[in-house]
Amino acid sequence: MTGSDVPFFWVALFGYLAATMLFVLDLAFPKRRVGAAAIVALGIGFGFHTTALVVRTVAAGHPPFASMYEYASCFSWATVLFYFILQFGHRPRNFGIFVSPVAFAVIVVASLFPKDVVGQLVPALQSYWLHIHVTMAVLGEGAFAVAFATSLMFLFKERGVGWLPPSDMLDELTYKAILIGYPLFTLGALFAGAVWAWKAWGTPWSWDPKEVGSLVVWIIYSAYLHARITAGWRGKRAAVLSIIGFATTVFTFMSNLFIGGLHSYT
Amino acid sequence: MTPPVNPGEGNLATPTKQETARTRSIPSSIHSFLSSSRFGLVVLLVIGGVSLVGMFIMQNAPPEEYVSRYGGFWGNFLLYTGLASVYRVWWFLVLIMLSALNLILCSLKRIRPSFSQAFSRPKAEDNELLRAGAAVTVEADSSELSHRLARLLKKKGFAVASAKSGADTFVAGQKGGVSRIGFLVTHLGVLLVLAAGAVNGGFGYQHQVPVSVGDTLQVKEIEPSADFGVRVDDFTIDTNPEGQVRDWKSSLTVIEGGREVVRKVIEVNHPLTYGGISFYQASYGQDPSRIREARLLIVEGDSASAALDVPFLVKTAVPGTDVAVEVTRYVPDFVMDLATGIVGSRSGEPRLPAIKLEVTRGGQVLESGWLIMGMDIHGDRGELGRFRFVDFYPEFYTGLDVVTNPGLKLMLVAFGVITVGIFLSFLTYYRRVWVRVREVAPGRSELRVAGASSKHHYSLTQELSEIREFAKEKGKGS
Repeated sequence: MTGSDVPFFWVALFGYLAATMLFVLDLAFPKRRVGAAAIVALGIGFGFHTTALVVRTVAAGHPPFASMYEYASCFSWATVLFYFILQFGHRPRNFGIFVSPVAFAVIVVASLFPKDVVGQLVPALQSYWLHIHVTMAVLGEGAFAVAFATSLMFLFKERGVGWLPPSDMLDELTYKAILIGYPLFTLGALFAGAVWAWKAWGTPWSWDPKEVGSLVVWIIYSAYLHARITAGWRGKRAAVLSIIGFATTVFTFMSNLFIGGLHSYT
Repeated sequence: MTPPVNPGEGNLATPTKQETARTRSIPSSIHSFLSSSRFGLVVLLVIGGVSLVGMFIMQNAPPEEYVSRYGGFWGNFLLYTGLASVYRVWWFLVLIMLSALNLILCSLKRIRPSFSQAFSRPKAEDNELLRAGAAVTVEADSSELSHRLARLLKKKGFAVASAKSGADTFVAGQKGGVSRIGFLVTHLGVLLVLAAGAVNGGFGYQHQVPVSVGDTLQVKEIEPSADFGVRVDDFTIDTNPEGQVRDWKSSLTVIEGGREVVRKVIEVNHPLTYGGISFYQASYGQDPSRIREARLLIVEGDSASAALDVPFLVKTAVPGTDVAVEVTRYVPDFVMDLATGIVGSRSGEPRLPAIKLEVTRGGQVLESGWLIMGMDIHGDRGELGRFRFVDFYPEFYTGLDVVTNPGLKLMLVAFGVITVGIFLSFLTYYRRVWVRVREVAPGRSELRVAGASSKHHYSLTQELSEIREFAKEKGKGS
């Protein structure tokens, strides 16, 4: 059974696509206020996306965390959420041009998976830890996605691209996004995951591929924080670590498709 | 150390003990190497890299599977290097221990300076950062301006100190000192997680035990100190109206010293814990050695008439006749050795279920033989020819995981400690602000603002410019 959320989902997808194209146009015609239109398009997409997730939650009777389509959709949603938080907090120039393609790419990935509503959760997933574990993990990963975008912007800025925000602002935006993402990921993906694994499988840690992947993600972002504070790695090297961290996040998110393990869902 | 930033802004690095002597003894060089953050970073990234590699390699499988999957050379390579069970191999554990050692040494080195920084008072005096910062002239009385600035800083949550020295008034503010010890708390938590993992790995266990309904699991066989049994009273599979499996549950009774002590229905996510040992609903399956009941069709002439449900090992009268039948054996995947006539099962899966049926009259066995489900192997010959085996209701066994996690409480505490540490480090940040107000003429002051921060230099810059703007505005007003 395909969910009734899917039409909303497609509007969101095309909203993010429109936003991406408008952000590019804005670059070409900076005086035409296309940038504002892009943010509006992203906002409309986000509104529909939120509706899609709510509709699906109601239809399925559980939060949309039970399939790859649902998770990827939430991932994209969280990315846009943190975009708006940082956009309105700091108003960096041309920020959207890097974040909206990331959100768009992730929602496209979501669209490739089967969209059937999983009405009956397998027994292991029937737990309130599903809400805690996945909500926090997906929000953390959304923040990492934004950090990835600002890190890319930083590297472009360093190569002399003039239309980007100042590089120390980008460096700090990356840092802030990771400061938001890291606690969420640590508590949600790792701690809540371990407690739930103990409740459901009897052991908090079993070196399941997705567990290992999450540990590696955590190690990379821990290294980022340490490198920044104690070794004084700012700027380029920090940006590269943040990019590697996000690449590992995406790899971990997809890993169950080709490695399998306890976190194998459709 | 990368310097920040703008003139008048500094970087509050995590303090370390100053290395005084240049010529160091060998032990102290080793110590400083092992405790360096660079070494810690490298070890951490190596652990991450090795873990990542392990994701792509089949783990903890029997040796022959490596050779068959990866070929002779690579299979043996994986086995020899330990990559085949990388999360247990000694050198991986050494890496983790090195990382823990680094964490301990590195934290010890920083305890004293971090605490003294966290709980120090702001110092209202001149410093290099102030001298380096740009000066602004403000039309305001210096003492009034410095009062207002001190109030502003207090309002922003700074601990404030002021001092006057000649024509200069200094105001110093400090905030978020407690964030300086956040990383120590986090490190302690990580060490506790590692300790909990070691306790679990060293003293915990997890055994998968299938138990048939009605049977009692003697826990003593797994844990000699536990003198109790767990009886499986029932096993049920719940389905939703669409027929999908919703849940499966076992009713367990703990029996200790011949008495029933605890009863609990366990399901996935809801284990039973007794005497420090947990019993998890892990799996289930059909019992390959028995069934609950078999359904027989009674054949009358050419037509099959009534169905008869025969419970396993229960002599059941056939209605309308003077005979009784009993199902004495069951095999899920029938196979017979033609030479000896011995019957066995090819597998545990019900691929070719068969029962041995005994037909009796008045206690006398008339005939006994095998019926295969869905097959007509006896034609209409003899007593067995009157029955067809058409269906059966399986007897389930429940797959219990018998588990101890002796490190669990420690692990939960460790999670709490890390959470506190992360929030101390992340939600607060340490910064110092200094202001110098110099009276250049009555009603005119020269203002210098400087600051230093452990992170968020961009925010610090904004905070400092806010202070400048505030002063300028007050200047205009007066």
